[in-house]
Amino acid sequence: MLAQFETDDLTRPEINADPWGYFGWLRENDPVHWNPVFKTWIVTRYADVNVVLRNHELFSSKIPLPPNLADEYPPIDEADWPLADDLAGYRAFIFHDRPEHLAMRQTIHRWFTPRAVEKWRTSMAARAQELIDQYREAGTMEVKRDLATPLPLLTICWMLGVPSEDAEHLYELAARVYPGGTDNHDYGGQRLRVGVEAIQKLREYFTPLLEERERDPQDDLISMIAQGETQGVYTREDALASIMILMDAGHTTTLNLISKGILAFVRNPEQWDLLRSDPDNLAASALEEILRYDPPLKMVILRYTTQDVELGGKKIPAGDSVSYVLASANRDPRAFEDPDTFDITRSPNPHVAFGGGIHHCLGAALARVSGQETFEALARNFPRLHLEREPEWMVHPVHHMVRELQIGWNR
Amino acid sequence: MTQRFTAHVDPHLCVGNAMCRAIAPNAFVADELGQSVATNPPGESLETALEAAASCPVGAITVTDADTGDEIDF
Repeated sequence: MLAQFETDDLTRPEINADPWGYFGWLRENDPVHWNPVFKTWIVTRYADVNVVLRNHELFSSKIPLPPNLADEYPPIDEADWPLADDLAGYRAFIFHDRPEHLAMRQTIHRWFTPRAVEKWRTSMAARAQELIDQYREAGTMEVKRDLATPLPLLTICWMLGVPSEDAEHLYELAARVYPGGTDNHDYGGQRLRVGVEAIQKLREYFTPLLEERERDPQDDLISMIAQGETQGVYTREDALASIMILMDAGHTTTLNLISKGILAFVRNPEQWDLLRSDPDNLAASALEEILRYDPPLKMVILRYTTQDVELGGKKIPAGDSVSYVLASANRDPRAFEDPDTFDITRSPNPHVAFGGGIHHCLGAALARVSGQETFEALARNFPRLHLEREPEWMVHPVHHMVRELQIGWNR
Repeated sequence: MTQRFTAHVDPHLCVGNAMCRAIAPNAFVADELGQSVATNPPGESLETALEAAASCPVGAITVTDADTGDEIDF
């Protein structure tokens, strides 16, 4: 079946460098594909991905906890398996189904509506300009470290209600948590140990903060979650896991959005010229195209069938893991004309970069505001950007992520 | 007298988040693609419709005054 790829090992460098090769081949040849290495069904067509996203009664988000480590790939050191018991009750809101998920999300979603996040726009724009100014004379920057990491960090801290001087340390821990931390595949068979240690440190940090906000609520997200805990909507572990998810998801996805958006523009300089001709009016549609063309999350391994389901001509038994590939759905020629062309004026652009259905990305509107302001600022400042060297791609089954992105411009 | 109004969901924007259906289950239903559609039943409260509009994560819902056609802000 996989003649061309010979393998379903999603950690192979060529799949991490070019997800559209492998997943695009699947989309055209075996659109609902059983991957025996990761023991999951891989759904790659736009229409089928939307079926998974919008039918939460059939496709549950309640991942098994503690995780079934025997199914993990690459394998986790067996000596570390008992550590997984620590994760038994550790369930962020995105790993819940209705009705619990609705109550958990309603506790915080008012902070993330398009209108609510508009209040961050001016400070995002100012922050982007400030970071650009810092590096202008140098003629070069490493996008992840110098722009895309500091940009959203302060906003997340303000929203959560943690001191900004703790931001970097907290983010480093959040990027290692198990499962799903963006750095955790760097630790191979040790990633469970590293992840559980990071979770323990984050628990130690956030537990007193939650207790403090329960007694003395402030105008921040931790207070909302603390209130949810008082009302019985969140358990303590749910609350801690949700805070950590907000920390990591809000950050890493923006980081991918900015770095891969820049990469798309460097490789399509005529689109950069177009954006520069009218950044005010084109930033919004340009951002949607970045999200479609190279979405921050390439794939989501996070659904379990609640009954036997037929999808794309395959019979998926109840209880199986189902994964859906946002990157390939966004390039499905059945849904998008010239799907491999980066066109910042594309309209309509109903991409699924933020997923859909009841679990549609909570931070979507915030990502839009920060992305629009960043690309508008870059376009106003730099007539031309180039790569100092070709980027390396990190190994991660979920993220399509550069290890670093060194760009330059003429001073 | 209560204000007459019409709710509308933009099908190009709706992502099927279904928050509106949770808040106002009589006023919004799912279509076959899992997107929300406004049913505008008689007697629905304006307050609930506006809460649904305000809660939409992609700003797909508008509520207009049925007499003047003006958008009612949430």
